[in-house]
Amino acid sequence: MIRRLFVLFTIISTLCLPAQKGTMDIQYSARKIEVNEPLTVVYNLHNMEERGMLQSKWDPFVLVGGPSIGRSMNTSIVNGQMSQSQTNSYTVQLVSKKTGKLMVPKAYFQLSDGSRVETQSFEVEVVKEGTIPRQQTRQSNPFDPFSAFFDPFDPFANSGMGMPQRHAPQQSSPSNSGVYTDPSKIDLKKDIFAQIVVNKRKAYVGEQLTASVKIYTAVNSKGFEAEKLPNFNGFWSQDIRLPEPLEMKRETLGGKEYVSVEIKKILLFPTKPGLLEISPLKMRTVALVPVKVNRQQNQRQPRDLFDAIQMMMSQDMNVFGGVEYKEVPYSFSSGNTTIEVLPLPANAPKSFTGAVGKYSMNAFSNKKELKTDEALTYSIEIKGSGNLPLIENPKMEWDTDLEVYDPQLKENYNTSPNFNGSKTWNYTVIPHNPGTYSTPPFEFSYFNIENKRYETISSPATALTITGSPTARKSKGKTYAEYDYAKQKIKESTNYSPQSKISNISYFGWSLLPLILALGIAIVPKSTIKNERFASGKKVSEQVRRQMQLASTYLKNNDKKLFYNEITRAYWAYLGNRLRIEPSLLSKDNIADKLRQRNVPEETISEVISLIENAEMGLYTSYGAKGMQEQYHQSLEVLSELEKQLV
Amino acid sequence: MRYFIVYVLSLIAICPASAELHPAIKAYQNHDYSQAIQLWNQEIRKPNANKEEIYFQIGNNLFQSKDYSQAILFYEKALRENYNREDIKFNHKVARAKLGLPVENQVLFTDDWMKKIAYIFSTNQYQWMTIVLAWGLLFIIAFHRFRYIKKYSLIRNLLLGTLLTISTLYATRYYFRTTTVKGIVLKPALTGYTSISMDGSPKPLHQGEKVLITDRIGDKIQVLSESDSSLWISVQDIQVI
Repeated sequence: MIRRLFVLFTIISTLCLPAQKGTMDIQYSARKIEVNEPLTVVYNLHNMEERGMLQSKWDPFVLVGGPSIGRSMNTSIVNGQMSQSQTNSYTVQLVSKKTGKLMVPKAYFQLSDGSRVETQSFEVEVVKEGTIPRQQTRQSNPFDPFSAFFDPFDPFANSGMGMPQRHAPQQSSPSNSGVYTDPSKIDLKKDIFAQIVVNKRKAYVGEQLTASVKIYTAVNSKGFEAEKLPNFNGFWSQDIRLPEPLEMKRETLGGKEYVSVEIKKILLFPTKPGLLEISPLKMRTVALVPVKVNRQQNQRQPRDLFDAIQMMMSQDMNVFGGVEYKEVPYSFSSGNTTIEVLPLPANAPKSFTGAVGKYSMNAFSNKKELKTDEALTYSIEIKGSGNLPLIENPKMEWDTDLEVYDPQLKENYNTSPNFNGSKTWNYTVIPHNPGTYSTPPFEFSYFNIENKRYETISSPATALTITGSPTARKSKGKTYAEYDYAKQKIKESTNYSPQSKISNISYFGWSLLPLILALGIAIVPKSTIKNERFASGKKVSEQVRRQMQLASTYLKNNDKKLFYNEITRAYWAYLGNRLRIEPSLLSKDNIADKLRQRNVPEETISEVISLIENAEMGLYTSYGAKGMQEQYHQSLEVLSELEKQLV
Repeated sequence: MRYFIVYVLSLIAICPASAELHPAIKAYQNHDYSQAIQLWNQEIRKPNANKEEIYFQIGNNLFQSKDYSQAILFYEKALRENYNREDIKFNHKVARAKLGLPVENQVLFTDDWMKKIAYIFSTNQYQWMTIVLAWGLLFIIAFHRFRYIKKYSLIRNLLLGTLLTISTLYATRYYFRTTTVKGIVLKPALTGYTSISMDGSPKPLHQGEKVLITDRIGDKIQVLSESDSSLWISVQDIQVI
């Protein structure tokens, strides 16, 4: 983009060496630069067969870029004669640290034949930083809303300056066609400006205002960029979406035709009374200003007649004549806007929390009868237009028996034509005790902007009937009105009774003593416990009686094997338990010995032994099928005899 | 056995004495709080003093004389005697609220339920229970030597298990009652430092705040404040519960 500017500052220098057929010119980006701002200098060498640049020192400038070389070839045939021209351009970028009028030193080039050529030096004014609007213009910013604004194909785009004219009037001020003759006298104040348009200059606190930021331009320009956005301090603001791309309008202001673009539209709600100032919008752009150029070619002396004719022809044939577009960086601001904000009247009702506009209110409960632990939703809906987002959460005093959760807020807003919509608070309420309760009555006040008066709308209390059994409050839910401990009275107690205490010695004595004793008992060997394995007297006779009864039933059934089996078991059980002989030691010999020890007569002993033997014979052999009856009776006799003897 | 009877009799003998109001309570009702505190201080020296109640009463007296941080200290002491007393907890919260301290339970969850369980029974009840269980155990073991008892091992093990549980709980309660690692900040507008050399940026400690004592070097102690910052302060600035 900077390269385009080169057209503006061109020095045509004739070569010092007339023998050379080539020409040379220098282009540089600006006559006036800031400190640290790069100055781009291009040396164009036409039809010179040079080897390269010999420059290494650029005092008082510092080389920051380049030299970069660009080559272009041009072949043309004029009147059957072919001519070829080659242009090599060397671009360097220089920066100065000093201020003042400085000379850019001569540049030296070495030609193919070994000779050197030098260029002219020229003067550039270097000024302090910030004194010139910055020339750097960025390529279109993706976020720049004005990129659509610069449209080279826009038929309207040229209308601001009219068609470029070949013969521009020689005036120092812009003519009707907007062409400047002197680039140093360019004044864009009336060509590009911005405005913040507010629909009201006086408003109440909370009243809605609409502000729109507009840019007016009468010249072509590109790359609008916002340096500083207006600051809406003291306002609650809401942006309104604008159509994409931005809409361009033709407007005539003070007899001059402009293109206007609304770049921002904002809804404002003043939040405090007094004079509120909207700080200006600051923007910068690059304006394309048509300028009548003082052609320096004219000063060049034609070398011969042909040259002179050619120069005249080129001047005549040049469509743009003496007009060139100069890219002028330009910053502009919208100027301050003040708005007088009136305070709201003093007689505000108690329930007023700052709502201004026009509203309607609706409060309802979704259930009127419910059981304990069931959830109930109580909703408060405020509808209307005004400063809805600034309306605070309603303050409600609920019965402390009801568990009330913080309300959920639902908002639904529209921005056109006025700011309107609805705001709904949903309370979840859980009762824990049966009974009759009521929702707290709710009042909502607002300042009616139409008749400039406070208005109050209220919703009555809704009765709630709660059935069911009492349930415990879940500590998760916080009551809306938090329990304030600091306001409570402390609990007191009026009875004091001394505590009976067990002294440590007696406690440990009384508790450890039984444990030690128990441990001692547990360690004592369990020698006496063996007896317990043998049934005592009554149990034995009972057991034997049962077995003998069983045997008698087998006898009746004539079941030989089961009979002998049962009767043998009866003998062993009786003798084992009665004589306290371990089952493993139970044998006929042992039994005889034990009986002898108990002083049982020999004949009884032999009877017992023979009985056992008979029973075993009957159990294991085919013998004894007939003697079952006899065996049974004999057993009864012998066992009862033995019982008598043993006791 | 004779001891038990003597004990029960002595309990009965003591009970009617409390029918009349304690002089300190009378002083409290007459708004003579310093007198009441003095009387309670005499009472607490007696061997059978009911410390839990006395600390609570002293706390109430201090609360009424608007010395909230001291009141908190005594409520904490009373809670150490019996953590499950709701009236003490309530007054403790009120005193904290008066000083602008957070009222919600600041105690670590595990600590809280452990305390609640350990403080189910009073010291006396724990002592009686362990004595009764120990004698019961002795009886059942001894009796089984002479006569067969059905499900003897089940009964014995149940008794033993209960005895162990009860004595563990008693030990836990005893631990909670006797360990003194917490203190109450008594000085208003006290600041602590993160380093022992007491330099750097001071951090505030709230009056009445409960702190955990984590270290002590000389007359300086390191405490962990309720806002979870570890600070060094002078030992005389806090009072151990």
